[in-house]
Amino acid sequence: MNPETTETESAFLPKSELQSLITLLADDGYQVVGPTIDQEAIVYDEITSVDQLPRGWTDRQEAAKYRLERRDDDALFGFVVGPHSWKKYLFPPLTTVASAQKTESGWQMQTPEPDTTKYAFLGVRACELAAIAIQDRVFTGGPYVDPVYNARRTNAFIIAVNCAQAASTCFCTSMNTGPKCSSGFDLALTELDDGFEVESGSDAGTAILDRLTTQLLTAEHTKRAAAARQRAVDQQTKQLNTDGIRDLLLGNLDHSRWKDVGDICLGCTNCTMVCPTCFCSSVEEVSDLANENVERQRHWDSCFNLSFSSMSHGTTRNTIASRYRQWLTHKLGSWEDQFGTSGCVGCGRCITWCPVGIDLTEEVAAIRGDTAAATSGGAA
Amino acid sequence: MTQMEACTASLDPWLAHTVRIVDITDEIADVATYHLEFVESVIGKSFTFRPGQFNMLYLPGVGEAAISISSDPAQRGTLDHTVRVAGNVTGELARAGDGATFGLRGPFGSAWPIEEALDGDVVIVTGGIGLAPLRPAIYELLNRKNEFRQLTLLYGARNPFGMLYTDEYDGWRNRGLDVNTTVDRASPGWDGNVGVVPQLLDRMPLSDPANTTVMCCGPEVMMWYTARSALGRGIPPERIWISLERNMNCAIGLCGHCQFGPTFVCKDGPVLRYDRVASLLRVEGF
Amino acid sequence: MTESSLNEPTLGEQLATLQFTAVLPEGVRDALAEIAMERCFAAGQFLCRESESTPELFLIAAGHVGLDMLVPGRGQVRVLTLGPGEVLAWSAVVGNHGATATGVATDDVRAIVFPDDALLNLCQTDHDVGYLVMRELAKAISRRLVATRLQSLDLFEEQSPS
Repeated sequence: MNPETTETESAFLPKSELQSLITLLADDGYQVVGPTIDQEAIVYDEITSVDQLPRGWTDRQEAAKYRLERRDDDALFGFVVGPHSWKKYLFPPLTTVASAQKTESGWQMQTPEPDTTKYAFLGVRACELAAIAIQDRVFTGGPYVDPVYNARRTNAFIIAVNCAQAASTCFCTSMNTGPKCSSGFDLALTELDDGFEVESGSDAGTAILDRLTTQLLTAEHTKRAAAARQRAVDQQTKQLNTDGIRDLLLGNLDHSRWKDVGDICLGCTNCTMVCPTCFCSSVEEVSDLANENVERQRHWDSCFNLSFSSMSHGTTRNTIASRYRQWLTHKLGSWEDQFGTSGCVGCGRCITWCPVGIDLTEEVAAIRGDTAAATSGGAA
Repeated sequence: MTQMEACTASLDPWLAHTVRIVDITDEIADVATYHLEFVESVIGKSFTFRPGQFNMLYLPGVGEAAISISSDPAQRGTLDHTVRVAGNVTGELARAGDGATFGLRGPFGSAWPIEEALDGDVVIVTGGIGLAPLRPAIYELLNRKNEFRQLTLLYGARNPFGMLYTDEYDGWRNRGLDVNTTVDRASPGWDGNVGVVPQLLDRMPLSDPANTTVMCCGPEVMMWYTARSALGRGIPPERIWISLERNMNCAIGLCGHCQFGPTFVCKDGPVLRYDRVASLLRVEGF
Repeated sequence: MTESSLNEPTLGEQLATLQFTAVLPEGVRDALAEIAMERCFAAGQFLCRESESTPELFLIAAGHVGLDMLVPGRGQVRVLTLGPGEVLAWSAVVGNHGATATGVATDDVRAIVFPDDALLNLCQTDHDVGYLVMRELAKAISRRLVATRLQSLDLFEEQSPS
């Protein structure tokens, strides 16, 4: 992965050098992925040029609302997070996990060769670094290692970006996942008007940095970078009280709030699709017409789907309320038992992309009995 | 856990090996036991499992089904799976005949607490098709009879026609298992016990409840009331073991389907200690 | 059929081990032993008959008793099997008329028999004893109810594939 090195290198990278970074990585065989605008949102896609970044754009997010707005500057990373997360590449939405052929001597099964694709992720936020670390534990930390995730993850080069602002839906400070990027990256950038404070976080990062034309980092640079990062802290308004949250939720499985949120929730699965840590999937058969060549394809699934908990004698979670309860008690509760940390990184995506504006910080507050937060309505 | 690593499951968790149906035994209605062998004998020679574990039987083009292994772990012949037709995969399997090939991934899951039950009495409580995942435990307990004290089986079925492996009971009795059967509903000609298994557990003689292990598999309601009876008889909660069933898709704890609170039933279970899951068992829709 | 007890535990000692009476204080068990007697039934013999009055409450000490109900067209249908520690024929004790099932020994049964009038008299004259006896009877009926409910839930009902 990306081990923390004892010596980190810091420098100032002029804005014009960012393209050199992208080009250098591409020449080294990396597929560079970064933020870009598509369908009126900032999403992650393969890029080759700095011109594809959302220069001068920012995002305005609230519960059930997302829109882009022009900034009054030319910031390349002047936004937070959109509907995509890096799991799109590390835990692909659709991938083949095995295949089978009917031969004369019977069915023969294989698993695919390890994926050798090298991705360079440009623009990974602190919450996303935390999410990647969480999915590392899920997919590679247990008795069974997922080969697809493992291959993609081993080959990934991570360029983090420190947030200089916060959306109204952000609450990474409550989850201790940001906004400052502290580990888990190869390089970390803080955007200034004329360039970036760049910090290496690994040997691989240092090696790339050494090949770029950088300048000495001055005290002035450092001060401006710190001020930029502080804006992200100061702008956060949303909070989640995580005191004893695991016991709070698992100890209130009969709380009436579950029914209330179940009446509003559509079970549309948006939250699980945009959540950077959600990992549920299903494997299905895709065969040719003769059923002699079959692919086993894994695709993203969601605990909000009715069939997710179905068995021959019935469906365990056959109400939306019970499925919402599963999602939240897992994300903020039993995840701790399973993986040693919370499953939530405070990115706020589930709040933004919920079509009916359900805010999990309010759900928790309601169960905690903190009616003040619950009755204040949706996010500001 | 090292026995799991002896097979390829942990090295290449999605790779299924080819198995062939050697024989099919029709059991009760809609239930058959498939006697399988690995097409590659080197796989068959290295495949080991513990009682309670399951395999994913893979019918290409249709899907996988999680089926408990129901044969004796010590015998090196076929790998047996007792299967009830309950969906697409098991339905397709029921159409297969001797010689048919398909895929197998495994073994997966936790095992019955044979070692934890040493030197004490063991009461196996099960019903219907639940006897299948416990049969390997019965074989192992009988193979190692001297390491345990009183061995008892309490087995319930809907009616006399719903009982598995009836031709083995006398053999088990001769080897030292006290076999007690009961039905929910008698049919004409049935002169055995009528009633539910918790009732049998309520009244059976227990010489040393504190050192008695209960291994239970069946519908959740049956397991719940069996546990209640066991607790009422003074059997400690940490000596009551149940086997849970949930929708399983990957069997390796990564797809999320089989979660029951913090428990991944495929990986932390299916055999679970009762006291570790009891508080969640009666929560509706959890 | 009545047989005198052999070299076996006394009635009081047996009541101490049987589920129905085991948790009662020793004094209460002794009082019950005073009014009780042992009776043996060979396989096939009846302890009580459906719809007929039940002058005695039976506590099974050994063996098994089948409870049958007459269903026209199906004959005698066995609905439950009772074993050691379980009671039957409580109808008169709780104030009902007539047994709700026929009790027939399915193997050699040794029962501890409490004549209803003596039992009710004991409960009436000593309300402390009466309270404890009735509470154990309520527990026994509750256990019977749970068992019956589990049967009626039909948990092993075969499912047809969806």
